[in-house]
Amino acid sequence: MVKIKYIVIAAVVILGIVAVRHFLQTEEKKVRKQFELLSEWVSKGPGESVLTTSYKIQHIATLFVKPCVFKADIIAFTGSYTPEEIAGFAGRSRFYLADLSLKFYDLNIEFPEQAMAQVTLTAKLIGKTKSGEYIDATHELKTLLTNPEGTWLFSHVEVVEVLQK
Amino acid sequence: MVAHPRIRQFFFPSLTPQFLIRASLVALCAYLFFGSICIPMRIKGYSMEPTYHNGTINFCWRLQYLFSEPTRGDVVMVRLAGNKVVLLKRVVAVEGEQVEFRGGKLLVDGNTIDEPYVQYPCDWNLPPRQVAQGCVYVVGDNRKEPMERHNFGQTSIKRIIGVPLW
Repeated sequence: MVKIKYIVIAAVVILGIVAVRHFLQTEEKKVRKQFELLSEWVSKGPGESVLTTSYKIQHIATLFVKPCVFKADIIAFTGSYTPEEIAGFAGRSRFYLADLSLKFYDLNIEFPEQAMAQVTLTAKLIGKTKSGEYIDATHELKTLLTNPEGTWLFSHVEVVEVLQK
Repeated sequence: MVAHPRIRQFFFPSLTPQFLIRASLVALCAYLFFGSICIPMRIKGYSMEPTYHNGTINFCWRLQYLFSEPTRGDVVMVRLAGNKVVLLKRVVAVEGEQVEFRGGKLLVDGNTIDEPYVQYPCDWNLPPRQVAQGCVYVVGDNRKEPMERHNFGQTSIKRIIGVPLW
């Protein structure tokens, strides 16, 4: 009888910890959701229809603040850009690819200030150009997201250059 | 034929609390050792041929530079992204040294360095550059590819996470 009492107390404590963690991670989940959306909208399947392409490119623009700072020397995309310019760049890049998969891993999310999220992560890009050339690139990204109106939007994206010639 | 009791006990141990505690401790130690100290890795790519081959398995020994720093000639693992993606390269120059490629030959502080591990012909030409403080210069052993396609350069020592075990 005493043992059952201790087991029940332990179960309640564990459930309480799990519940608290679940609710505290809401903002983190929202930030992760933005990366999932970016991954979904940048990725391209073979035989993608024009309507789907148009839908995705339009929605890519909704993920970024105006302006958003990019530091990506590796793809010659460094500077301050509007969401439309970013979507346009993504659209032009996607045009040359038959299929493309963009995935994000190892997200390390911190909230240094109110309404600001600092995320360091791994981005893996796999695809094939229309001419048959394969692409397989993995990079570390440092990003900043802000939450101006209740939605987390990318404000700074940096491709970390690990080796500098 | 009846197996010897000790042999049977070895292959089919009794699930006593002591056995379960021992098994848990072994599993925990293995998890910590192979997860943080001696990490299994599969080599992908040809940049370190013929020293290391594409598709082979190795381990990243993370304690190598616990009390020392990388020196010229060391093969190191450079953290590229996250905890799972690393580059396998060789250190050719350390901080403060000037590194240069001339006609395929490596020069450090103006002196030609003998590189017996470079087996393939190389015709690289790279103007001299100083290795910054807290950094090392790493290059792959396979230099038959054009320099523009080979991923090499200066990296922070903090990104060096270990060395291959063999």
